[in-house]
Amino acid sequence: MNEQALLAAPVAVPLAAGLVAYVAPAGFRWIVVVAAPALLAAVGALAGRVAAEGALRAGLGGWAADPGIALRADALAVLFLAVAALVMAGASLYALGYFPGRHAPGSARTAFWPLWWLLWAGLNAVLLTGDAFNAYVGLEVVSLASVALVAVARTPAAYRAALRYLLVSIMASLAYLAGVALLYGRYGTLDLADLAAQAGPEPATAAALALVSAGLLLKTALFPLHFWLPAAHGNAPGPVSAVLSALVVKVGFYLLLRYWFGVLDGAAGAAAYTLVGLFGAVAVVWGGFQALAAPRLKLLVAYSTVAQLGYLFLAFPALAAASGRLVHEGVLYMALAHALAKGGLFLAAGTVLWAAGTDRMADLGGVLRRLPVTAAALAIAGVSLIGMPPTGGFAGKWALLGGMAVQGRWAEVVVLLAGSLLTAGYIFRVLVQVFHNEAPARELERRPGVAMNSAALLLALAALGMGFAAPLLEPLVLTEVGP
Amino acid sequence: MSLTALLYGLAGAVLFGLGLHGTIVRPELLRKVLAVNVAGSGVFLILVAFAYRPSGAPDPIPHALVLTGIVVAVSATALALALIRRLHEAGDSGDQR
Amino acid sequence: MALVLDALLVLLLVVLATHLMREPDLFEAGVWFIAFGLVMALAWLRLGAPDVALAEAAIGAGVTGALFLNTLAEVREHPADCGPLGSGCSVRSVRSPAVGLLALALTGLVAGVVGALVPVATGRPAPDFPEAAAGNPVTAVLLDVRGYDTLLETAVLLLALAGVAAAGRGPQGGDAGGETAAQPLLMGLVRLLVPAGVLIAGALVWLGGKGAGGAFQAGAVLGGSGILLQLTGIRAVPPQRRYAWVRLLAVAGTGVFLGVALGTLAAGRGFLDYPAAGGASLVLLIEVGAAVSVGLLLLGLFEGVGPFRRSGRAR
Repeated sequence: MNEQALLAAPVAVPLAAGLVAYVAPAGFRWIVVVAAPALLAAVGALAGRVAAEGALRAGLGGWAADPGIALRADALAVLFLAVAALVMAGASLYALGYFPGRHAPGSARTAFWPLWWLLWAGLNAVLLTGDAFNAYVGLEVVSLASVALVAVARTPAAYRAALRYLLVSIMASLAYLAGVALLYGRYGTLDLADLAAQAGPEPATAAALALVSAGLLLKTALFPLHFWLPAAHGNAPGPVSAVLSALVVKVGFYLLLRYWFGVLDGAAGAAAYTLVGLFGAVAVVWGGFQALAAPRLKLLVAYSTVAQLGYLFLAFPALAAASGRLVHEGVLYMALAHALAKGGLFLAAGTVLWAAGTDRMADLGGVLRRLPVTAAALAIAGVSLIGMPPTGGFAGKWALLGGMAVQGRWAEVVVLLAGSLLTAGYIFRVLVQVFHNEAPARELERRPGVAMNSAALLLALAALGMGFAAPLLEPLVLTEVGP
Repeated sequence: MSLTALLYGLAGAVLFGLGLHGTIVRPELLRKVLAVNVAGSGVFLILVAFAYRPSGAPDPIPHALVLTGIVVAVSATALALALIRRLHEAGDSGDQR
Repeated sequence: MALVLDALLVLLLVVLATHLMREPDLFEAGVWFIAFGLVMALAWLRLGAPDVALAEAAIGAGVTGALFLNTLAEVREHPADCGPLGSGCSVRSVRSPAVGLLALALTGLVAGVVGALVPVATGRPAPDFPEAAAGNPVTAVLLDVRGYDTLLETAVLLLALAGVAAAGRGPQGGDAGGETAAQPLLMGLVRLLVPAGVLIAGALVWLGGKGAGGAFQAGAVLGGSGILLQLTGIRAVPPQRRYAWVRLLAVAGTGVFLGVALGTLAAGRGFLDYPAAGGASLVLLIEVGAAVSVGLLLLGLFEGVGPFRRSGRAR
């Protein structure tokens, strides 16, 4: 029973917070002060339990996993839960300062908080679920909350981006559901562990995996299914962009890891892995070039997300090989470090737009010189994205490079190095503005408070610190992916 | 072998493909919303077809799943329609970026 | 013989779906869509799924169709709204054949797998849950066996309303009760239908425990009654924006569900693990909360619904 409490808390707490935020919007600060630490504690407790005693599984409601719903917390889940908690907590702090003014019904802020907490609940629900259909419902919670949060920006560009995002999301979810329907038809169960036990390399299972993957790849924005992302992430309000790039796209990736390497591994042929890896490579290069050419800072960061997600898929063929341990480590470090670094980067970029009213690259230098903390956060987060030591990004890239080299995958190594070069290019493109003496210092429309500044900096520092924490995380990171 | 279930299951597959095609190809945003609902109905048909038993009570689990799916679909549709309305009020310029 | 009926239904479904996608006038497309939903309800009945049929008719055809027509009335769609997601007008006609081929391939793939799996799936014995807290097997699955799914589902519905609010408010309709054109037929109907609707909703919740019915269908009927009332200029419920107690009722579905779940957890049982005695009452409690919530949320989604102006157009 204690296990069920540990497993249910990460979903129950934000769900309750969302309900309270909806009914009593004026109390949003209190809700953050209570719920965010409570969630960090709950996730920490769960993580501690899993680290000490191994994976945790429980069927909810007194029913066995099949036909009921099981929740499952293993090393992979706990790592993602922890990073999600850190990014959401940081972005919540940021959001406290982001929406100005007094309480007003119908304002953006009143609408924002219930959606925000429900998003967190949905993220945790997907990470903890052991049931294929429950994952669908969790994904819908995440999608609808994300779309609505984009729309909070209340500009025509945001509405357009949100609408495209929504239509893409619904189609992706339907593809996923179709795959689950086929799995249920073939195996008679929705439980991921049961499916893992029963599934074999058959055409029906392969078709189901293809549909599930099509849906999840759309949600994770792998090239060429990324087309919806730059507008959505680029036009969302500051804290929302951070969470979209850091976390929302990662849950699709998380489920893909589970399905490809835990539940239905063996159902995909070698060609499928190679295809995914190829698209990952294209994403790295294409995204990098788009970021180099982006006219606005937030668009640059959004294209960076497309590129960085490419690394994760580039590694798929290598992951499938038996000697994939280093690659496995690298992929996870990269995913988690990216979440922290991108979170910090987008929060900082959001501050620029918030303070100056514009985030055009041409005007950036003048603004950044007025916002030293923001510039520092941009720099530190950027360093992690490039993959320089001692950041978490470095830990990931180093492991990936090593793993690829061990397997003799030199093409992937070249892509990795090219990607790092491109990343360095667009990050320096941002940072060089700070030292560019010709741009006049711009007047800021408003100054960011301590909440916004510290949140961006903290997340960037967390990405940095992850590199130091890597040895501690290693046993968790090296655990094999299961259902 | 149940021909009824087979017939409806295949119909579900057809509606799924038809709906997805319509969502991508049809230009009007409002029509895209309708089309994606058709696709959803297709997937639901597949699920309930799998639940059919020629003799005896059907499998209730897909029925429950489809009920959930219908509620999810109306939620997403409502959000999409509201966004379309806002876009229209804001003076949609037709520019896709 | 029954198979001929099924074949006709399926044919009708495909024809309606094709029509609604190709019919140039969006209003007619909306009507085709509602018809499609109603024929779907018949299909559900043929497949032995009366609960789903009720939900499809009330929510899939009814609420969705009404929302669509309501939005259409507020929006005039320009033909220039073009392109598949993300491209300009001129690209669309080139994309069509490729997309069509892809869709055909996808349909073929899915149809093939479905065809192969139908005998496998229908040959399996159907599970049943005698110990569940409800007699109706679908309700048992929804609220007991897989209650956690339904809990999240109530959150999805709440998200829709919160999302609509997030996007900002449009011109408000229904606030000024003054300019109502006298609509004696409508008033007469409303006097009959609204109380009937409330009773039917209650019956659906009560009967849903043992027969076909349930909270979501009941909520849809409640919401529909509220909208009918609003069409006459009487505001069915005070606006959520201004009154906290209305918001509280709107979250009651999720709130009661979560409360029960945490209660059973605190009582030493599991999350959402009903006690053998009183389990049915808890389920009923959750269903009542959900029905009220769903009704309020659906009503909230119909912003701008108000009385007819003298010009005859819905405001």
